[in-house]
Amino acid sequence: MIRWATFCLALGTLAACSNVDDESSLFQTALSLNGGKVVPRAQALYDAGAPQIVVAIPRTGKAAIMVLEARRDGVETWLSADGATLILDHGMLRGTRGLGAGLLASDVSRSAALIHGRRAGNAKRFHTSLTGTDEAVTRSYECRVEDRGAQAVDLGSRKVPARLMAETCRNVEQAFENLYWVTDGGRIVQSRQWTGDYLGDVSIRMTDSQP
Amino acid sequence: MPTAESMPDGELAGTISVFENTQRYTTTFQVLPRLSGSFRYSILGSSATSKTYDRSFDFQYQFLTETDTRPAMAIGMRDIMGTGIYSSEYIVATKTVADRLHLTAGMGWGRLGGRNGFTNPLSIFGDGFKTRPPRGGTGGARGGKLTTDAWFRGDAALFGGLRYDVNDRWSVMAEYSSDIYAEEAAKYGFSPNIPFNLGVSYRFRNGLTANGYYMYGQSVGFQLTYRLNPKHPQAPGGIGPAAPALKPQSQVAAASWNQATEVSQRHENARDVLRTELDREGIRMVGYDVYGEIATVEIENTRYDATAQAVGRTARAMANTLDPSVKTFRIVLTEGGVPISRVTTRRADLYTLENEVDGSWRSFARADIADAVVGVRGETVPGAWPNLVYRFGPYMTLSFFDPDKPLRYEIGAQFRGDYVIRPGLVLSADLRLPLFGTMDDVARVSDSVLPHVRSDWARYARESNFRITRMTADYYWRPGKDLYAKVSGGYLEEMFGGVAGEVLWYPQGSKLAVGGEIAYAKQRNFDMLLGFQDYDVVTGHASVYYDLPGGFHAQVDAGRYLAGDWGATFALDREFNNGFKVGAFFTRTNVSAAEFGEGSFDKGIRFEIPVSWFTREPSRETIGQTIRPLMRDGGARLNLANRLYGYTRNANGAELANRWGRFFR
Repeated sequence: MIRWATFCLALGTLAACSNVDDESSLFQTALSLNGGKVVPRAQALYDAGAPQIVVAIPRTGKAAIMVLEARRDGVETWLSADGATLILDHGMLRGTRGLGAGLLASDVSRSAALIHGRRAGNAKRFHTSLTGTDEAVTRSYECRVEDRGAQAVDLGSRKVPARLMAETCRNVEQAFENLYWVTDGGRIVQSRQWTGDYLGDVSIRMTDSQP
Repeated sequence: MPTAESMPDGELAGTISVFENTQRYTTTFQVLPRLSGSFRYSILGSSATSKTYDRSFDFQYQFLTETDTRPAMAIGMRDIMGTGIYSSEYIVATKTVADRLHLTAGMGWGRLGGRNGFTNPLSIFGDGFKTRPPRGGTGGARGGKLTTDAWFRGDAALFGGLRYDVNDRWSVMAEYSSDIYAEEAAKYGFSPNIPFNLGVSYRFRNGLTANGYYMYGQSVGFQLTYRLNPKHPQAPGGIGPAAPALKPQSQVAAASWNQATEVSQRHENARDVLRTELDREGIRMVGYDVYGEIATVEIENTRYDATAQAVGRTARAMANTLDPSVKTFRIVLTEGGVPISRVTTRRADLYTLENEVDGSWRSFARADIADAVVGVRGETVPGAWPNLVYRFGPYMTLSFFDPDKPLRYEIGAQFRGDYVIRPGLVLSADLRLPLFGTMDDVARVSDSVLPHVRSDWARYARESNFRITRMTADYYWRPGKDLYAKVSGGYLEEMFGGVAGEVLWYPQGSKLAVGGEIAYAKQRNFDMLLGFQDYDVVTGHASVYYDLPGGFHAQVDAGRYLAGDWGATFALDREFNNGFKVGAFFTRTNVSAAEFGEGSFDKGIRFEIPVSWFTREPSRETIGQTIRPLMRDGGARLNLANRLYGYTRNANGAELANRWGRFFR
């Protein structure tokens, strides 16, 4: 079940990936590579019915539910059962923690303006990542955002009309492509975004439980 | 055959190779981008009586890097000291053609100048270069000395070869060797039929490379190499849980513990919440105080190898707990209750910088790191002292290069406990019960003419069972700003007990630290329990520690050693920011080579690897190993636990700055 969900998410296909039957088991999946115990604060949020997203990591074949831990100035921190977090700014990935060599922080404001507006164009983005010797290294990328056409997204109980926006980025040493499914209201309901060399992409899908 | 290629900077490679009746174990470290050093342990011969055990050091320096038009060129020296079985020098060039074909040609001296040798071209500088002293005729009668008067002397010869990378995994090699294996011929009658070797190599994804060779038209050889780079831990940044995200201040203000009408009551309520929060993060809060807009907490970092990570987590826990009237956070880092450094951050900066692309750098620029001895400190949290920390688990010790058994080990159960009665006053015990191993079947008896301060190590292993490895009372304190002090008494280490005192000057963020220690030590009984032998000594050292550029660290300890000899120890380590260390040291004292015995003087290489490097989980544990060609009695230093430099270094401003990237981790 979990693998199948990973598969659906990872490919970002429109195949009918239904919502997972056993949600709590998907919540308890460790997202980090050899992650272990459920951290108490994640369990408490889950039990209290905090908003959820479904996250998959194609490179490791792992998928898990993450719950909303905090929202401050529009930036949301989503927490997995084993304590890994994704930091999302209106659906755009701003950072990761506890997943190894993740994004410490980023500036994606120029890309975000194009993607939320569903407009094509060029943008520069900046990623700061933690190296193996604990230095924070900032790299910049030149990106091209383009509209790949209308594609509905299946959120489990309903289908949401959206447009697929693709952002192709590169610098001298790295290249990646992010995909965003953006609704008419400019909301990103599904995405596949690059975290860095170590972990590769993460796939993120909003769920109905999200306000 | 040597090539002019270098490994990536910092890389470590371990190689096992087997060929005819020869086994070689080699560790190579790429000390600098162009400089590498190797330590090799070889066993030649097959029968127990005719075996030769040899330890050797090599160096290679790449003086030209490869470009489109020129090859990489390197100069190398093998087996530069002692008996010199592999003693040889070379100049070599390697050029890569079409990304896949690597062509190598070079000229060698010594062992590499054996086949079709010609008169040394260096003899234009003098006839002295024409002849090489015979093996054993240099390097000191006791071994261990540099064989300088043989370097680049005697006949030279040419060698060459190629490697072709079939794909990412497979390579094939061919070489023409100028080595005639004179040593092996004498030892067990091996003599090359033809001077050519063919080989095939397969690289696994996990850093392992397997090579097979068809050598000299008559025999087969195997080689296994494992490479790792200290700069690339299993997971950069680690995979432990994230810190709780910063909550909006309004949410913190609305928290139940911040509802009391009296501000002082809110602060008191928040203390217990904060303490629980920090406990979950592996941070022990031992002091707490709020005065006006400033909150001070004293913490003990029990989990994070990067102290900056503990500081960042404490600051965020404070922001998520304390009443919004608190604007400034002061975090005092302590060890055993003794304050070391103090990091001051503004609450507002945390909110602004948490998700900023340059937040890491700016948070460092805005934080103030100072000595914690002066100024306001936290009030002791109820129940903080006394505090007991203990660990019960397995241990393993290794001993290398005993001719009867080159690798000896011992595995057993260990109990370690530290009972901190009040800040600075600690009772410590380290008890061991060996369960199995090969340390205690050493039959050789020390032939040392010096007091047997170390060379009886096998006797300690043999005549003891349950052991008190260490049992001390220690008192740590701060005599003043930038100063640390400690006195210890009891069973200080495995072989000595007594009393010791130490003082260290180490300002926050300083590259330089200076310390001194003095001890009265009496040798312990071989049963490693409570009794003592007759030998006693007053020993002590003055030490200088310096953080060199490029991640190097130098240490010099000068003073009196356990055998009563006077001298100094020089150590140079390459320290990677993540805590991985590779280094070498040597000690010269007024003990002569003849008195010292085999090896002439004490020297060795050492490694220290943070456990988190492998496990990816945060941990302050490290695995250390010192490898000495021989353990003898000259230049032996008292092995005190928790010397102040190591004890305070993690919390010093210099280390905080080095790993500040972890603040928002």
